[in-house]
Amino acid sequence: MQQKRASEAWVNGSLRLAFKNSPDAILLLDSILHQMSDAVIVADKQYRFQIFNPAAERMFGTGARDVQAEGWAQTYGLFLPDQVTSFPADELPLARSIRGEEVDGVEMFVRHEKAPDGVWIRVNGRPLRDAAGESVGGVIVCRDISESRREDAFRAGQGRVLEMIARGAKLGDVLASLVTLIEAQSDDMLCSVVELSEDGKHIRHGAAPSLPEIYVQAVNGAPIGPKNGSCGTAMYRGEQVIVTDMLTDPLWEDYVELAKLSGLRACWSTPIFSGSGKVLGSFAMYYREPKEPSGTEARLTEVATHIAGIAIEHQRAENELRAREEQLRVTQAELAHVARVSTMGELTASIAHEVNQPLGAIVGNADICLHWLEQSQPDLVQLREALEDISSDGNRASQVVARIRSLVKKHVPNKLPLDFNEVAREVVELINHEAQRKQVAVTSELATKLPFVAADRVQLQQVLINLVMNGIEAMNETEPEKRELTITTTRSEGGLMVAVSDRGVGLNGADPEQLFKPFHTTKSNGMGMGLAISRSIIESHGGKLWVEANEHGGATFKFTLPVADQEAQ
Amino acid sequence: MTAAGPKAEKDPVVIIVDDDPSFRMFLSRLVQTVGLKSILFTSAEEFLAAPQPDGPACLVLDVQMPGLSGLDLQRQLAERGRPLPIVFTTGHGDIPMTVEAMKAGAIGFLSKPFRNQEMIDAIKEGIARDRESRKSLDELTELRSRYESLTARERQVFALVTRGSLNKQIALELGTSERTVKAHRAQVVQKMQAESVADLVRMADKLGISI
Repeated sequence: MQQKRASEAWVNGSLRLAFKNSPDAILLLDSILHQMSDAVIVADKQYRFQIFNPAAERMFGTGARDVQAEGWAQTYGLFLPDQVTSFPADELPLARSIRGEEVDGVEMFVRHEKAPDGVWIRVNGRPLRDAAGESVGGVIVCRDISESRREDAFRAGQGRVLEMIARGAKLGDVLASLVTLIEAQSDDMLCSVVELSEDGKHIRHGAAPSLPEIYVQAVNGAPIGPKNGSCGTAMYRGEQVIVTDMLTDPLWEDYVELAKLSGLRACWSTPIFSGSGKVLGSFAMYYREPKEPSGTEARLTEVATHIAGIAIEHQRAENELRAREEQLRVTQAELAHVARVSTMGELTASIAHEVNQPLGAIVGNADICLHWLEQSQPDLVQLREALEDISSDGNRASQVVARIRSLVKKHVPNKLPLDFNEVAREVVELINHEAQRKQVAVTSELATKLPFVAADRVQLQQVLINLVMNGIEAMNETEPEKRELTITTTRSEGGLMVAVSDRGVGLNGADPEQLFKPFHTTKSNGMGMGLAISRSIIESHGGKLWVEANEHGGATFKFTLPVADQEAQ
Repeated sequence: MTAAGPKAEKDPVVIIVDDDPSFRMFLSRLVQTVGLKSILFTSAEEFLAAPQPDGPACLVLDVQMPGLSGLDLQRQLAERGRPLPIVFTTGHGDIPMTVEAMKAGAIGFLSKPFRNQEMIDAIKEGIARDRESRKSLDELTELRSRYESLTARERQVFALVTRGSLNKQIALELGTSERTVKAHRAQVVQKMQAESVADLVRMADKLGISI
């Protein structure tokens, strides 16, 4: 009947002339229009339908109706892509093509009684002209693009999940997005991803945003095995397990109560493999009714397991990388500690002096006090003064010890905002005596109002001590009057710069970068790690450490540190 | 013997040179407990710039100080020809440093912390030594001034007497009478405040007269 109407519409229309002498041609055209999956609609200048093929009837619900163009959108349920605004009558492709326009690729949403979920279509239209070139109407061809749109959306969804992985989103979030995406592709389907624990023996929860909480909790931590539900068995076997009815399947025998409680009936589980074929976890589809899989689900499963595999593998690689980084960090800290201890070893004479100075006064003053106490009427004022000196010297000694302890004890680097000038002053105090011993005059020129840097105090002290000790050592052969070492701090772009300048042997034309290589040493007792470690410390603070030859002999080591705010960003 | 002359001895003094204020304070307190006076300096340079003590003294010197070290100061004093007895103190002395100090005539080399008695003994020894060397120095100065009071002829007689010549031989050598020689000889003995010929010989030896 539709076929008849279509051909009748054609022969009865104003275009009859074109085919009037060829009934065969009309039959052929009728056959084509009948079989096409695209909708074809032709209307004359009076907006009366001349052709309305069966595909058009299916697409727009009702056949050709004798309504004015203003009523088309209403009658056939035509909407703009926002899915709610009725398509404006003037803008309709058929109306435009009747007006003589060529229309290409207009997308619209069609929803009516027979297609309550709606259909997406893409429409092309052309004006229709007679032999004389006169416009006599318009023709449109409409294609159902719902499927390809769904496909596009699904692909875009996959892209978003992959992007999450690439961006380093949390595995739980990635898997939840993946599960939600898969679930959106099919009605009544619930999905979950579980991981296989590192020991390869237990199920670990991954993502199951739609499954009952009680079920999720029961599965998390459950063992895998030859008869352990769908996922437990699938991971154990390393192959897909299809359970069409959980209440009767022997694999679910031990978990049948859980299935009942959760209201789940069908569960198809597919293992997730790594690139090297290791089982990483399992992807499952659940239904509340007994059900067997079809082709659609197989495709979804393939996509889901593929992406979940990438996500889990990525996460594990990331974890491993992080563990290695941590290991590296610990090793570096150990090495820095060894270097500090070794520096302290070089400073032993100075440290002994620093401690013995107050100790000498303490012991001596105490002796004097004891001597006074033996007298019949000791002078209490004098006694008190001496005891006060003992007390302050005791504090002084303990401060020296504390200062050394903080440099020698193992410590976890901790970056806090600090004033580098303070670090410089502490270091000068610590090495002052060593400098005296070596007859080196130490000068510091510290800039006022230095910006704070986010840094580890002990590590920066270590770097500065190292550079100062190197400078002192470099002047062993310099005439005593010329042994000068200068520590300078200045503001620099984005932070500050520290320079340690000596008048020693200099670089002797050697490649300065060689100095920073591990185990490069010019000392008989050095490890040759000092500068290498110093550079790694400065670089870990976002700065740079380098050396320059001085114009009039000697060398200047310089390093930069970024301001605290930048570091925080 | 009245070799000390008219001058009365000044009070002994302990000169403390140490850059550490608390240790300086302790040393002066310690010196005070044995009834000695002390003068405090914070550096070798400061001490050198100050007037030298005119009584017996002992230096207590920190080996390691900014600027001139204790050993440098010891060297400079020796070069100036007025070496003072020195007791060194050190926070951390090494063997070569100790050896150098002792070779150059240090009284002691005490590592902090030390026993107070050790320091007091060293200081007392130092002062005693300085008093001795000061005394012999004073004696020599006295002898020189006495010698300078002799006339040229008396000096000739002095030299010949101390060589063991008899009056007759001296008169012959100087082409004068024995009586005149006797008078000169009496003048020499009186001016040099000698009690015997042996005394004169000892004096000549100290003055380095050898003809």
